[in-house]
Amino acid sequence: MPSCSWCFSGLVVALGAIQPAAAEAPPATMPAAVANVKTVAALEDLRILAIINALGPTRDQLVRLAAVAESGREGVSAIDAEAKTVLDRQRETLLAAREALVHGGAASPAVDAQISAAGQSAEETRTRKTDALVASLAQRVRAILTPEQVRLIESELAPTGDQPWRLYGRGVSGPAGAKPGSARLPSDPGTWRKELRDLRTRAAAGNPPAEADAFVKKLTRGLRSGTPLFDQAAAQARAFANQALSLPPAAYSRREWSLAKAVAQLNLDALNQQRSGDGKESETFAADRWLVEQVLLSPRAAANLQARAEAS
Amino acid sequence: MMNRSRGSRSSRWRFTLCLSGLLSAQLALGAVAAPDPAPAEPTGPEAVELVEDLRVLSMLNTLAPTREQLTRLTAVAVSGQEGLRDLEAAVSAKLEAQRDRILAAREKARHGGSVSQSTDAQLAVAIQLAETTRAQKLEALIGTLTVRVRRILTPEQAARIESELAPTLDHPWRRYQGVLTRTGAATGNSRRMPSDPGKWLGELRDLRIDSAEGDPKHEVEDFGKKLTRGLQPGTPLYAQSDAQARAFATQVLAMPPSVFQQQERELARRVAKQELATRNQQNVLDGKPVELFDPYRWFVEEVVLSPRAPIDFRDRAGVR
Repeated sequence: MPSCSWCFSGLVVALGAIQPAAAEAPPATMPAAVANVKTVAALEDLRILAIINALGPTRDQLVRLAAVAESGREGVSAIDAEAKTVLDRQRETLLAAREALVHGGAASPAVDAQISAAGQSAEETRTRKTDALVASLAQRVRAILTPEQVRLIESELAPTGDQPWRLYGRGVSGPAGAKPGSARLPSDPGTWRKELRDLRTRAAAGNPPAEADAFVKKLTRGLRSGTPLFDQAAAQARAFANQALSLPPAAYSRREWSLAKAVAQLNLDALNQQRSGDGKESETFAADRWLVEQVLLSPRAAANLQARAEAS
Repeated sequence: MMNRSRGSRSSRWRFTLCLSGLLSAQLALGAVAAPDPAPAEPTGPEAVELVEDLRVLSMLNTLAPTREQLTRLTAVAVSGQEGLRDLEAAVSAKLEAQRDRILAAREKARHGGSVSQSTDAQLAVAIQLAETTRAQKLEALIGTLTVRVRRILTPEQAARIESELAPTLDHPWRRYQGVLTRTGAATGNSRRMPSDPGKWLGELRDLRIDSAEGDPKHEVEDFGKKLTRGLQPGTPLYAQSDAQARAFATQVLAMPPSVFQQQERELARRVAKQELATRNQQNVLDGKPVELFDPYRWFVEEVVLSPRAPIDFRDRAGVR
């Protein structure tokens, strides 16, 4: 416990020390509409706006994205209502089962099965309809974003780096972090940055050639050993590992993100070559879907996009 | 009989769900939804709350508590909800301290500007502080409630938690949990058993199926590997454990289907017990602490901290 207390008091001290250097000075008075906003909601607003602003959208794009977000909000409400209806149909059964349990009895296997089936049905309804909603919204987003904005999402926003808005997300949803979504990068530079850091830490404490070998193994996972593709990927991975290990700390810090991106790209290219050889489809990233899942399905998205459009 | 205080319900739900994972996605979004919902007329519990009632009451009934125990557990559950409310208020206060700054940054962002690095740093510290506060207070709350529950439940009831409730076997109430979480997955780390008979039940079934379809010798070896995972090969402990695992697997494969079906849960419990005992022997050799399961803590996290527990416990106490 002492270490936790130290950590806690350290944070308090740090917070106090930072206060005077405020860049966004709070206004003396807030309009009534602003005063009613919950702090956690304002933090979610900040997360949404930080992502949107990174794309540098035009006013017309903001208006169109706001309309997509509004459709998303309506769609989610409709899905929730439908899933609730499925469960509500079992209300009488549930009340009767509760009554039995309150008297010390047990729910009958038939009731168990009925409740379980209703839950599964509600779940299936939700999954199917949410998938359809996300796909339809993503299609609309695809028609709004420029190719440059799509590239920005893929290279700057989707990788799990130190983007401040990821922290705002933690403030909103708790330690769980980012919202779950299906639009993940097939090879995330964030993952590879951690691997590179681990490589350096472990190599400093132990056996650098063995750590480089372990890194090569990770980067060639999923490739068939003994093939030219495997050998080529392994050689490139080893070159990356050696480069990461040879950099002085300051130089490494400056370059680690670009190194991580390069490693992620190498990993994805090799896996996709393997998939192509196996007659499988390449793994791709859907930037439009990512924007829908991370931003447009937030209940605060429509209001923020509208406000941002009005301010443009 | 099923009193509800709508005013406090929303916050109670929201926070406890952060803890237990129930409906977390929906409620996390609800927490930041644009308009505040108008207070609804009390119409009795919603279907999803009734499902939670069934989960809580099913587990409670497994322990066959006395009326006095139920009354005392109700008081613990009420304290739990109060503790969660206090905790939520403390966490919110950490963020509230940054409210004006957040609003100012939002205003700037709405005009296309970016948040300054110093504001980002302040928010990072505030969010981290809120997370630390949450973790510390939650741990303290669970600790306090666990001490109280330990005084209420009998050793027999604790043993029943360990053997009947905590293992991830095919209990109907786990299916109710699936309805609530939409995933059916367990949530909190501390609630997991160090060695779960539910996991070994799956392994034993796989062992029999895979052996019937392939090479039993290979499957026995594979089972031995699983049961000795984490042990140092070449040591007497490893050799002894591997031999026991193989003997056990061979015995399981020799059973006729109906006998296996009758005994599978008991067999799974035995394997789990053996796995834990061996792992703890290795822990001792490595100078690490032994792994223990606290049934009272499990009961607090899984049952007592449910937002429905005070109502369910009270109703159950009132009827007996």
